[in-house]
Amino acid sequence: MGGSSSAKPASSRRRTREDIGKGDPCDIDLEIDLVGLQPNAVATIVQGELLAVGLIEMPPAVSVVCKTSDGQVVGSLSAFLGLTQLISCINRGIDYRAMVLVASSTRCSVIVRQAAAF
Amino acid sequence: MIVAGGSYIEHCQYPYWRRLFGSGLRAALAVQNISPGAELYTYAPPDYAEDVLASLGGAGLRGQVSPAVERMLFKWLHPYQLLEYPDSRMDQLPDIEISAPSVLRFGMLEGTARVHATRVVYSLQNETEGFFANGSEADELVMVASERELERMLPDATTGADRVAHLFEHGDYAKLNRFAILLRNELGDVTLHQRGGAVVEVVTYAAESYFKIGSGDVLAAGFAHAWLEEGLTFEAAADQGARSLAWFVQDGRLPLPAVHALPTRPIGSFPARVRILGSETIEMGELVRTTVEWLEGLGISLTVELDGLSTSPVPALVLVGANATIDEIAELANSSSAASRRIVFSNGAKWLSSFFPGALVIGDYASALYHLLRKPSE
Repeated sequence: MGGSSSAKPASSRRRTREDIGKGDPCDIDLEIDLVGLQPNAVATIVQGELLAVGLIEMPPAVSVVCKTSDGQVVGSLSAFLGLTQLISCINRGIDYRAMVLVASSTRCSVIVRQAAAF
Repeated sequence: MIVAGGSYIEHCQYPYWRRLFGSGLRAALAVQNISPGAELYTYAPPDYAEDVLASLGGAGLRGQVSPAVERMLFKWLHPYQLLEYPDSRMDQLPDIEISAPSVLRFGMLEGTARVHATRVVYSLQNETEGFFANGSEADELVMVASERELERMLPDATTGADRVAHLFEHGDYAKLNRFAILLRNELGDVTLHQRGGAVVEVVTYAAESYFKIGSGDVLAAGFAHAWLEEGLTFEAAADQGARSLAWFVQDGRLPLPAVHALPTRPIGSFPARVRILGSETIEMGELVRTTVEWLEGLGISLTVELDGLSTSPVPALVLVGANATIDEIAELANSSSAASRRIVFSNGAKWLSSFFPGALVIGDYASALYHLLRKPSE
């Protein structure tokens, strides 16, 4: 995790909810801006960096977050078609990463895929 | 806060945007930090009802989702051009009923929220339904609307002032203990109209970029929080709403922060005249056509030049196509060099900054227009 050297260029293909279910429902390919950016964390990341994707559970609430290699939460993945599918897949043990496309003090855009896809 | 409003799929081509928001879900997520425990009443089909609840749950919010049948999809080419939206003549779902001391209600296409509250903020959205048409009740009401929405609601009135006056005098609205209208234009300027009071031009605050989709939702949410929950006056709540709007339009960021972190830098007024420059090979013809119509609608005088031969000090938007030649770019740079403010938009051309020193080079068209028209106050 971390660093841009291991990250492949983003494919132009974007898997949407319409695609999900046609094949492996956990084969998610999502381009999205993070919600609830944490300024201190986002200041440490760079374009191309791979962030960990994980759950924070505060029952009954569950949120999906992107974290830096040292565990800082950068922001949340929320408000998109397939959020429950992503949570379900993470709970099944599928490992996801988020590659940073844009990182600024006001915006962090990422592509989320299975870790093996990067 | 109790929020009633739609949860819709949103697609935009430029900039790329695939989200599940809609006015209701966006407003609820906007206030997650400043109104903990907020609750959303909405409709959603089985296809994405769980995604709505998961989005709310992850933010510590609650949701009451009434079943719907159809997916609700809104598609934009860019944030100023809506290409596709659900048919408003669709069969209406059973009403959502809400009784609470105060409610933020948004108009919806697939159904309606009938609210019984002391204080209500009602955001028209694209609906033309008046607040009372579905049997809703309130003692105090603030209607939040865009100029276009109010025009659709009251097409027979000829001016904005006539529409406001009509609402103030209309039977149901005239019976309200307090009634105000928060009216916004396409670039986020807001005016506050109070029955029996003077029109207040609310300060517009600066942002570094302009993400328009959903900006009215966040204005309503920011105002509603300030008026319904903090108990501020109409004027102070409108100011907080305008600052909330400026926070959001900079990259569409959510949620809203505490009030002390909201933007405070005012923005200048529209220029009277602007130029749009482009090469003859420009492949953004449709964009130019809609932009010209839109600017004329705002009452701004403009010149469109595709020959790149003259110079002028008026603010200039330079459109550089992805296939523009070096010679064409150099001509555009020369003819825009005297502009008091120079914004360069391109959908793919590289190395433009070296041709346009001091210019703002932007790949997001809505933000390019915003910077052309709005200069932060010094």
